[in-house]
Amino acid sequence: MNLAYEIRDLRFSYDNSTALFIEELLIPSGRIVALLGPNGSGKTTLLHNLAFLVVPQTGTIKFFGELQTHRNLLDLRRKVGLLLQVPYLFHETVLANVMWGLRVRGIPRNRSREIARATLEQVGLSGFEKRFARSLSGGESQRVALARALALEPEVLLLDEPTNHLDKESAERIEEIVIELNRGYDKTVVIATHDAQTVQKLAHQVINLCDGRMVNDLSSSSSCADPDYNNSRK
Amino acid sequence: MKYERCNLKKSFLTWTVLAACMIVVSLAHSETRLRMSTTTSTEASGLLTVLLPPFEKANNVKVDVISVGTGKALKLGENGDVDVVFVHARPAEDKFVADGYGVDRRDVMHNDFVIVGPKSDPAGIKGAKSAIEAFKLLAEGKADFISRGDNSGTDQLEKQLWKMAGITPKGKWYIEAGQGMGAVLQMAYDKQAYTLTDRGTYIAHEGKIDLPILLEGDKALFNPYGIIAVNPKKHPKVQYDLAKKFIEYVTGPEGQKIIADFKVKGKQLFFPDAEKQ
Amino acid sequence: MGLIVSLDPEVYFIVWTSLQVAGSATVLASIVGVPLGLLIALNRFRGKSAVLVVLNTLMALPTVVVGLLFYALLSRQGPLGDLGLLFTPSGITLGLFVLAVPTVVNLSLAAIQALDRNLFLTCKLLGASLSQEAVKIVKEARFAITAAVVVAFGRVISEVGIAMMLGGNIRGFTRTMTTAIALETAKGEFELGLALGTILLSVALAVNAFLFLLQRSGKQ
Repeated sequence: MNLAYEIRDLRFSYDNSTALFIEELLIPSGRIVALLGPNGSGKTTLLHNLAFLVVPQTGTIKFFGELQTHRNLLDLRRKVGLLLQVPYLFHETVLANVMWGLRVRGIPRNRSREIARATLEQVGLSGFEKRFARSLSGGESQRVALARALALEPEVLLLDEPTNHLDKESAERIEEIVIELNRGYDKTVVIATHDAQTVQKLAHQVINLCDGRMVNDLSSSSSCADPDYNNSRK
Repeated sequence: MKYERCNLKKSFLTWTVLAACMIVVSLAHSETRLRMSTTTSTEASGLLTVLLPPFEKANNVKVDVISVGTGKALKLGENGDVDVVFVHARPAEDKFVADGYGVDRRDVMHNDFVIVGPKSDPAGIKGAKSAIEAFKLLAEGKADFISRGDNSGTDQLEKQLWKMAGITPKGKWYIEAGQGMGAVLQMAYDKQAYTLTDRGTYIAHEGKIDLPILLEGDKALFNPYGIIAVNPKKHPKVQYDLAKKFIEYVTGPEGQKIIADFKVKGKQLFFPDAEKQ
Repeated sequence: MGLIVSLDPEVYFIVWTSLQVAGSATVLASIVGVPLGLLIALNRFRGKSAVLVVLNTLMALPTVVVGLLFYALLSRQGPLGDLGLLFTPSGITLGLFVLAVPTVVNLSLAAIQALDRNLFLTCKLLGASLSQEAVKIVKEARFAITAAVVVAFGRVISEVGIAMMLGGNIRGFTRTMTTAIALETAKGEFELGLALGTILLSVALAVNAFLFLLQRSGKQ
């Protein structure tokens, strides 16, 4: 089986305190993997490492067999899509937002526009093109961010608590899209969450994080037995 | 949206082009320019607007006039920032030449100063026989007097008169304004005070400032103008040849005639003084 | 009043000179200042707080100080005398440029620091290079940065000390609106001074209106 990520001896710290320590983590391609853990357990940090936004102080990450170095950082970044917990949309139209990533890669304007339009349709936002992105609701914004990432055809899609602040309907929509991406297009998805139902619905594999380390069982440590673990959606 | 973006781009483009033009234009000033420092009152009199153009045309140059206080005008000459100095402060001029900063000093013309004051003339200087006597009366009567206080030619003459009268002016009545002649005249009018002014500025303000001339004609009030070239030995980069040409023009028949013919409100302001050389 | 309506070419030239030196200085200060503000805002380095304090102080630079300093530099006696910039419009532009840069840097810096941190993350995760990210950041902060440029322009078009000392108020060459006003006031010609002042205000208003409309069309 192909490995999307092969991580060994990874240590990452912000300013002297180690936030993440992973001895070995293998993420197979074409699977949906859930990252489970309470706030501060290192989910976001791990995702940022997987997105190649930061470089770990020690350890190696291989992306589909390619080893991450300081030189190929930008290239690898362009192969991964990441959705932040709260998406940042540019002060432009929805279409311009989705087009930017394409333009950054040198794709000509007309082609970018086509791809952007198609992707917006894919996430159910046709007709939103000329809307000012910042005026959208939470669910719509998250879908724009998703379209923005998908337009770039990443090999892996990372989502940081994507349904956290959303209403039921929007959350369900996002989940549907993720499932479609995985089943239909074989995309590897890593989704950080603390919602048990999401995990049930989507994940092929679960990774538990506690205090920056992987553990087998979250309830074994009192600090990591997340009271939200058993919450259902709002 | 396409059209709006186009407009935005277009306006940014025009703005940038405009800015570039401004920068280019401001860098291009290749004409030969003769730099002259003079006093504010000289420029304010308007004489230069008739005196300079014939010279500029004949020699295809532009004369840049920097009008500041006498002190600064001479300082600019000392620093070599101008090519020729045109002021009216004989002692300072002589020192300028003696110190080696200037050469080829020539007399050009003179105008005169007058003492003006309130119609009521509380200090009673109207009948005074000399300027020095008038100053003595002013100090005795402690009448409000506005001084230029800026080391200008006018200021230097005023200080000289006090010195000759043996008085050190001090007190509430002696007001040092630190401003130009026009502003000082205005102040004198507002406060109904006395002041020493050159005739040129006085005539120029005659309509607005109703302060009669209370003393005039005393030789001590004559205000001679001198023109000096900046010494090329001290500042090799000054345009000495052009400065010399200008001095010869101003002291020559053409320049002297223009000076004599120059009138403000129908009255002659300057009296040519250049000796034939 | 009549002066404003009458088409006195001398007045037009004075207005044009003001616009020229103030405009050039502002444009140059923006070209240098905005990237500099960006660099300082986004990077951590030793002595950063000292730099910020110095920048704040420089914003309140008294113009006469800049004027004096540059007079000493540009005078024939001074180290830069050979450039021949004294008593030329370029000399004024140089002095105004130095005056404007701290303002542009400081306010651009503030504008960028006020941005949501997620913007920087988002640019990176969308695969932008450093320069692409820099451009995007400036775009996102464009209103505040434009305001910074406008403030700088206001500062330079209305200042007198530098224009006077470095330009010399030479009629037909380096006379700006502000030095002309100073001259007329010193001569006691208050009416003329006021008229010129009104023109100065109108010009400043016109420039601001233009920039405002520019911003508005960008908002769409």
